[in-house]
Amino acid sequence: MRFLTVARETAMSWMAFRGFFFSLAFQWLLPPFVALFVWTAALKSSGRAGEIGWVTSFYLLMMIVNQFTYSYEHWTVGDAIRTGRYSRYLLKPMHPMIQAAAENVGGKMVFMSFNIPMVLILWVFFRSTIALDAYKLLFFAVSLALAAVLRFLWGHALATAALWLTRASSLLLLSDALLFLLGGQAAPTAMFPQWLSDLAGALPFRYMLALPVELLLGSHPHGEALRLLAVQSVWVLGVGCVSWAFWHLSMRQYQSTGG
Amino acid sequence: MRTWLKLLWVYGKLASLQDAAFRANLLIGVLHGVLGFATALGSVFLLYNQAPVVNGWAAHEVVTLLGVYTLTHGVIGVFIGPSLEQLVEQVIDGSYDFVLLKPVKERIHSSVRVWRPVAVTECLLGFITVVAGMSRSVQSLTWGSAVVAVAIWAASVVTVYSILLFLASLAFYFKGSRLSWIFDSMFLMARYPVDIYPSWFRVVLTWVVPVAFVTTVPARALNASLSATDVLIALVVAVLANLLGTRVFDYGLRRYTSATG
Repeated sequence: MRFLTVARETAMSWMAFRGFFFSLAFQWLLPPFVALFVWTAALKSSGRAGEIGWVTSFYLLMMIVNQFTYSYEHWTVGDAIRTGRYSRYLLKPMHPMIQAAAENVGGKMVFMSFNIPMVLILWVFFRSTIALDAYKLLFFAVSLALAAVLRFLWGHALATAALWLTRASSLLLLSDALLFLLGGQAAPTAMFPQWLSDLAGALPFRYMLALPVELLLGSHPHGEALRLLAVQSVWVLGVGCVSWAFWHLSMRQYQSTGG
Repeated sequence: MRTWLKLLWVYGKLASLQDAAFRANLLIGVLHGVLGFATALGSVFLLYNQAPVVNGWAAHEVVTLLGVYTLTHGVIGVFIGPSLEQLVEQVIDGSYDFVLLKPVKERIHSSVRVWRPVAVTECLLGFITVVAGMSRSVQSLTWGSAVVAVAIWAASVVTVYSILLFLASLAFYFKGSRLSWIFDSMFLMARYPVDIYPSWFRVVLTWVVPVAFVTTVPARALNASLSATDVLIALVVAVLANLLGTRVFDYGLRRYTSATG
């Protein structure tokens, strides 16, 4: 109940500034939008116009997945640690990581209320289609949830670095850059050369963003889909344990000033 | 003029000293600039892994354009972007009074106050990339076209500054608006030539949000594929953008009411 209360409170406080947050949501739509046009042009120039429909669907889905998995609390947590306001998280009868997760869910309620209608409009405009079945939808839903959790835990771990670095935002920007390249935003993962595809498979960024889209659009055999979900789950467990341990280590040296 | 140069020197020096005090952050800032550039370059190589020419642009020409983008982004990022971001925050919280009390012209002071020296990394990377991209077509570059290219690039910086000033000045009219973030995302589209986009979107990126004049036109000037009419249009766009930005700022300043006591 507390989790939902915090989530609802966050959503309502953000809706008071919905112009600002909708402009943020619009901003996050643009990179996949740009990539859609760029790759459409590349496919036309290389005589592969038949793949344009797939690329269009890839990036329209990427707009939804990116927004759904986006973790912005890692910015606020890092700033809260740096300014000493993190104390208010520690004083509440709820674990600070759970509070941050609840605020994340509340924020998503606001952003998705803008994102989904925009993507639907673009879907109709581009006349995109996907061949769906129950298994694809199930794998997509599970992968999407795991991707959101993984991205949150990863961001929270980096934000906790604010206790050692005065500006953890630099580390977070590094992470975002790698996510852009390896997570499927710069290019669809299917277009990666083999060495980059192997690298993306060995790092967590593909599992934070591209995997749900691949599972919905691709034609993976069930065994392969389950293997990918298992790898994603391992990343979630691993990053979760590291994030938890890192947070506990960080709290030992947290100091705050102010009345 | 001497006062302004002295102010620029003082602000730049202070910011450099401040950044140097946090060496780990400075290093991460430099790495971030390098990594951001590497991912952009990586995107271009992934793209040209699929086709040697995309909508009439060869790989080295797009690399040149990316260099122009990075250089422009770096120049804006050194002091113009951070200063105008602070302008918005000061207008919102009412502390812009302290800027108005200073014995210098408000608009220029607000455009040069905050420095981010680490952005010089992007300037260097951009310049090197332009040179690397031009190495395949340097024989077509004459002194005249080089001068034209530099003038067009300077005009593109003025255009970007004017758009950012316009968006920042909207804070005088719409409290709480931070619309420069939208331009940052629109500016992402300048990483690629506008010819890559569909024709209807090209019109938007040329005449509504003049992203084309930021990178595509300067890159074409470097490739010596710009007509005299295009040069004139680019210069006129810069002048008009500057007029619009400065007028919106000046009228907005008249509406400013302090929130301090």
